[in-house]
Amino acid sequence: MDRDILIHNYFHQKLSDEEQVALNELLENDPEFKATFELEKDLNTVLIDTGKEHLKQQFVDFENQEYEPQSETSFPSFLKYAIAACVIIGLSVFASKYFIDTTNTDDLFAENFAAYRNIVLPIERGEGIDTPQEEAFFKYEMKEYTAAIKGFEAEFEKTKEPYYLFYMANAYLALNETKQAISLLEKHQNFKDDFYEKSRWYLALAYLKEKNKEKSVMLLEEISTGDGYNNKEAGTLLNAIR
Amino acid sequence: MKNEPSITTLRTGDPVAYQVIYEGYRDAFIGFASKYDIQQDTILDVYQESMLALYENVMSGKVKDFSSSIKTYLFGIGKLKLYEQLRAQKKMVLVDDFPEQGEIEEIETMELTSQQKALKKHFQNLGDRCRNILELFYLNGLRIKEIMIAANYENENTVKAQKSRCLKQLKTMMNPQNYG
Repeated sequence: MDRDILIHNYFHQKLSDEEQVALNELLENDPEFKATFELEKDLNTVLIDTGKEHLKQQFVDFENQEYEPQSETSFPSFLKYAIAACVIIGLSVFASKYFIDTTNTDDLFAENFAAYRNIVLPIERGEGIDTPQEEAFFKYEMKEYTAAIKGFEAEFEKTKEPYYLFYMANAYLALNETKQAISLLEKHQNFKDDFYEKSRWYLALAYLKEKNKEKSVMLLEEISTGDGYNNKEAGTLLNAIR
Repeated sequence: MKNEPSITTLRTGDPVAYQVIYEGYRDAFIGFASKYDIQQDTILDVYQESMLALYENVMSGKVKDFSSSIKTYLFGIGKLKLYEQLRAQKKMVLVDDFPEQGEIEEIETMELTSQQKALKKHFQNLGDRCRNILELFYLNGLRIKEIMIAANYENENTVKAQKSRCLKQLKTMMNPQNYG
């Protein structure tokens, strides 16, 4: 019996009766196995403890960011605020006049882009990966985008399922290879499958990343006036671009 | 919260899944606890401690499934912790608001033994690749093949050999007498 499978199943409560018997026998008759097993049990406890510390820090950071009390101004003065407001308005007018075309499209892209989650074949960790399709989506979930693209390409060749184009494009966007992403998303638009609307949103983002504002704005206007995927986000993004 | 994360997802230790729960039930818990004469900071501490107990119980396998929902389970732990807090401050409480101790299996969190504390220190001194492979296997529950894909190993045998080397390294760093 494979030792790693036995240990994995023990720690993740998946031991079969047969495996439980095998484990008990090893613990009884193999002192070296028993010693390593004790180390592994302690390691598991230590890792959970470290995980708790990270989680605690994550909650504290969240509270500090989201619910940080506003610092009080010791000397609020109308004049001070009025001057500040004038300066801000003045700068904005100046900026809108001279710098509008340099709006940082990279920043807007970064704020709005997140590789679309895997809803085709969600992978349960520890349940095993049996098919090339599962392997490709697992790589995508683990952000191994280059490897995922390779897998998706092979699967698309075999099955011609259009969603592979959509996920390939997402992987390319995550890798900052925007031209390939645009070409795939434009191709994907012809299929009008379940991912069609999502694909339009990602295409608008890809155009933005390529600094093709005209095409991006056109698409975002269409999305924001409809009631489909990310229509509200499209409106917000349009305002930010303008 | 419409869709609570599944126990399978929680078992992987995914911090995002725990954050979703934390944010999803934070205000409701504060709302409940605010009925009592207890400071906001203390309520937040109790809520965070309850989340950590949830994490520990899921990751260690003490909880195999939630009989009703994660919310019920989390609030069960939280209420017991609040009750303890109020009792320590000798404040009056409505007993009906609080579950019996037996309804929640474990609210006491574990304390590391001195040997485990030493192990924790040595683990931090391992190289990145070792820490990563051991975490993926012993904490996140990835199988050998999954680690091969996730961490870009050439094949499953390389993963097995590397994991074994890292474990051995850890064993050597500890006083070998501790583990046989």
